[in-house]
Amino acid sequence: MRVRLTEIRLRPTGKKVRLDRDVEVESLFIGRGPDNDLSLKGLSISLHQATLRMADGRLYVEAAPGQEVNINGLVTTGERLGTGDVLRIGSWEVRVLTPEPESGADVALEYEETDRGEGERSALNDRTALGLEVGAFARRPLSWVSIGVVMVGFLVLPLIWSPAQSPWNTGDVSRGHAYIENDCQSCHSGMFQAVQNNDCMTCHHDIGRHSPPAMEMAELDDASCAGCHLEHRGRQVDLADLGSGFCSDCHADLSAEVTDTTLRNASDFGEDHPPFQLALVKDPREEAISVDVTPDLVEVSGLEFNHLRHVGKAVSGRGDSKQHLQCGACHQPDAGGLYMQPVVFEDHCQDCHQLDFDKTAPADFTPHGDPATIRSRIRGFYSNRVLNGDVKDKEAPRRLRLRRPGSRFSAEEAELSKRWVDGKVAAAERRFYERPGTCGLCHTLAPGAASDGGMGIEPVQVQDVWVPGSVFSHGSHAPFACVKCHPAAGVFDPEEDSALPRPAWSQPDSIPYELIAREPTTPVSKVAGDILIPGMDVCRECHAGANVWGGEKVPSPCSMCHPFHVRANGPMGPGDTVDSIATPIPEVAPDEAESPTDSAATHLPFHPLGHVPMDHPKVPSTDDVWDHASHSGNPHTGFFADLN
Amino acid sequence: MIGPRTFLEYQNYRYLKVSLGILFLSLIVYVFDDPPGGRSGSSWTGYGLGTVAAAIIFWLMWLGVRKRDYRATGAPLKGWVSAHVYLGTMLIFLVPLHSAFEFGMNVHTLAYVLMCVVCFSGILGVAFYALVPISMTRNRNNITLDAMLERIAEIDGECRMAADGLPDYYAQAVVTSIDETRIGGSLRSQLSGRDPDCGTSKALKSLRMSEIDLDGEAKEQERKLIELIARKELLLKQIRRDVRFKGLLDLWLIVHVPFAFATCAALIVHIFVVFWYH
Repeated sequence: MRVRLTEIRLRPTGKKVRLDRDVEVESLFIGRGPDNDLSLKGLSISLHQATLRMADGRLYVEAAPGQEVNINGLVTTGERLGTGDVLRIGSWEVRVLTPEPESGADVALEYEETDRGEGERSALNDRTALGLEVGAFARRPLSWVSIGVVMVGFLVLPLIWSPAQSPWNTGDVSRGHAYIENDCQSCHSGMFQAVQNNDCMTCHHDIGRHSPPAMEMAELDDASCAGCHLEHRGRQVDLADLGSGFCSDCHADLSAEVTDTTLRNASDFGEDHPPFQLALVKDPREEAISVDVTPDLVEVSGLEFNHLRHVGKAVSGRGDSKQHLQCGACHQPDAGGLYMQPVVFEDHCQDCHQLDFDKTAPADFTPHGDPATIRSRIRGFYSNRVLNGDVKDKEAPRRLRLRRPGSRFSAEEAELSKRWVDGKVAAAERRFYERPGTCGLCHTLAPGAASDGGMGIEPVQVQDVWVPGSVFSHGSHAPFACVKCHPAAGVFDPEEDSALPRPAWSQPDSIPYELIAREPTTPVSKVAGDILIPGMDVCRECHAGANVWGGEKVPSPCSMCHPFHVRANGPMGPGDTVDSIATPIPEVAPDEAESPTDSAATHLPFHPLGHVPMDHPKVPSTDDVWDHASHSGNPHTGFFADLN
Repeated sequence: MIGPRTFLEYQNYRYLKVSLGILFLSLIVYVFDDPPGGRSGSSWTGYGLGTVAAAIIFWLMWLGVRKRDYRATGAPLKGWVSAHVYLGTMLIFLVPLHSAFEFGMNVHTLAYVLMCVVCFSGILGVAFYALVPISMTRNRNNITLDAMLERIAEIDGECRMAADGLPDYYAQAVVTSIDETRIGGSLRSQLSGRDPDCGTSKALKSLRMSEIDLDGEAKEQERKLIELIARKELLLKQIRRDVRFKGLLDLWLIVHVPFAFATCAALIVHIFVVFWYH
């Protein structure tokens, strides 16, 4: 067959030219190879891509083995061709035309490179992507995003939704405040202002001033609570621990700063501390005076007592077998474990020292107390016997013995009765006052001193807090036996009665230290005037100053014994801003203090977010124990309150 | 490009001395300060050190403005960069003194963490500027990146011609070498400096494994083609190393700048919160 091939070429000028050539072939081979009848450039074209041939006057295309051809957009391996069909081979288009009669060709084909590309460089540029900053991954958009994330997540969101405020918390609050940790406004009542003393005193309403009211120390008493007690520093941080220098800043040389003080300088318990001062009773009619501990001190309480007689030897109550008394038989710590409760006759003495007054009525005994009251009770006892016709005394007048209960008294009988009762009361009194081992065993008798003009006793004043300038906890020293610090009171004579078991406290293995044995050098307390309160040297056996490094002693800051806030000095804070609590709180019973109608709770600070703080429980302060002496009072004055 | 030595040694390390001086003074104040309740960010020392640190941070941010201000008078940009580097590095140590080494899971520590990211990315940037340009120059060997790309394009054209008379297997290899060779691309491929899926490597491998027996001129063509593709592969390695070096010089800044703004935002929140609830 005769084929006219027309190539359309693009000149660099942009003009297209047609180049015709005729070929006479059996079949027309198309491919990249130069041996083809129609050789087309392009690496995507096979060396032999397809073949065209005539059969029965019709034109057919066949793809070479393993190849395909694209006819009018359809991929096939072979097809009949007609005028207008377009073959796409690589970047070439081969169009089938109607042959012009004058050319004498059987087939006319026109071919043109349609997709010429823009050269290798531009193609390479298409496949090249340089630079790290693409789209949103660039400095500017990333900066905006990071600003937005921080501002929204940590400022806007927390402002409109308070649970999101937890990242604002600079650190855990102390243990005592953990329950209000998430209630920021409990303490931070005002925006953009420091925590106010009022915020603290909503709960700590009665926190005491440091200095006595007469001593104006505004820099301490009106100071900001938060200025010293720094919160948000972790659960384990003690808000009251203000460091070793806090006290000694002033107290190391207090006499230079404050002229009208009786306090002596101190800066460290281990190194620089004056001797303990005791509140010593020298006359039971007068208040205790403050004295330094010296070996020759004598207490004059108005009582006599012999520790050796009670503790060192086995004793027996009425009907009991002999036994050794423990210290705890008379000295019991108070509920808080700080001080010892007062010794009470009814609880601690009466088992052995019963106040019976009539042999015929051994179960009847008088209360312990004012002799006038005792006389009155005894008189009542015998008068009742007369009235009830219950006089059994053989020495009593016969008429009284035979008298029927309820019958009227004649004048003579009344006189007889009075005389008999007077006689019995006098006998009972003789039994109390003249027999050794009864009232006079402990008390000094004072004839005519009683309120009824009869036999009385000298006044008694027993000191129960000996070192009122400090707080001492017997409870926290519980592992140690009493005799560790009070050796003269806890004495035991193991040879006294070897048949009896030794008291627990005297067992060498029962306490973590070597028991101080009774030796000739050990002072033994036989009289009540002995001072059994240990001196500073005893404390220093275990306690060192706050700044001690290493060693086996307990580092002891000032605040271990001396609380800063003293409630007895009135509440902290300037009176004009803390209006609801400026006046000293009167002594109230504990159940009244818990009342929600307490004045402090009704003066809540204004809150801009409308938050109303909870009714926080009143938190007891350490100086509650400070007032121990004034609360407990003298036990010997109130013993009979419930007997009459 | 400014070598780091020029700004690190600026005025005989003037700003290194200034920074160490500030840090030393702060340390003295911190050590000798004994506020009631112990050292913390809310003591007067804490407030003071915090104010100094915040002022430095906002001044460091100003470098972004200063470096674009070509009409600026006063200290030269080199001096600004020198102070920027030394003061910024000093902040890593100053801020813990401000907070008395208290850290926690909160926005306050977040500000410090973000600041540390900024500082360390900056230190990394200084290190890159000290080391990378040397390697970069050595790698380029007096040829620009553009010239290297131009050479690749030329090789591509020569490959097309060389493969013209060769069997399809060779043509296919050349097409792979051209069409499947990409330069740059994702962050990872730019910074890795290599492309495990490189068309040129694949093409070279397939050409070397060719079992087609050629003779005469075709044999010569094949040898020429393999040589071209091998040269292209070497050139591509050089280009990719160059892209990697350029990426390293840019990367730290993409971290440095957005985190600097994040630090400022967190710092503003920190100051706001501290004074809201102080």
